[in-house]
Amino acid sequence: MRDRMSHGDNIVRSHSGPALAGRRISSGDILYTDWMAVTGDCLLLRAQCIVNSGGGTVDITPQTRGDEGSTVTTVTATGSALVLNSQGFASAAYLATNSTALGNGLQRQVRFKVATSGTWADGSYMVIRLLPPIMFDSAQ
Amino acid sequence: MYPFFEVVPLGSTAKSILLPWMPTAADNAFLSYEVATSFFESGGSLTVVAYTKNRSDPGSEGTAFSSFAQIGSTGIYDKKCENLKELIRFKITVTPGGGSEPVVTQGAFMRFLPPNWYETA
Repeated sequence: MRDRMSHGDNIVRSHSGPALAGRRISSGDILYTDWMAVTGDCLLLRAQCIVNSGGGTVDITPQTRGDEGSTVTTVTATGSALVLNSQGFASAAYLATNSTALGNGLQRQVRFKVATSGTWADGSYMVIRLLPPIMFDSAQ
Repeated sequence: MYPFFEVVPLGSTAKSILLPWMPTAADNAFLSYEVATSFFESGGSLTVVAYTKNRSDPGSEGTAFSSFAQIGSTGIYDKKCENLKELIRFKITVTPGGGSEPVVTQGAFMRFLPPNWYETA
């Protein structure tokens, strides 16, 4: 079903706001944003580390699926993956090609997985946010 | 988002054109454009500059943001633009290169992607 609004743990929402508002992350945290409707097969995603208090690395991974309950696939980055390891911004592009392999571009819905890696000092944390995802159709 | 359009150097010297002003939606933005395909002889180029100003400010330009940077190996170029005023616009400059190909065979297909607006944290 396209762009369904539902209650519970699978809310498909618009993407006009930030994908993730300012959020404190510590070592071992894993979180997922809500699913949101896709408005193009390509994605431009930007994240910001607002505060870095001894943190290691935050890995941000887009995931996509067809309909609710269908297979969830990690979207393949075009070039470098989206990683925050110091204060500032990072960007990544996820451009669809004509391959039909899963993970090549966005399907009907997208969400973002935020996880940590690397070495984190005891009690360290980062405050991060994800800017609104920019979605558009591929040119080639 | 603008659809794709073609930019071609008309003549042997650089040409520039300003796109219309549009209102800003936040204090800051990542502005980006995509070059789908291009061909320039040696020395030729396509450059983009963004400008911001308030409605009450005189002039066709304003504070400039230049040096858009390529994201990896993609055809997408972006620029972090902070402390935006009320309006932004783009200026596109196409410079033909010197070589055996006629000037009109040089140029690019490009489009502007939606701005990534954000407020200062």
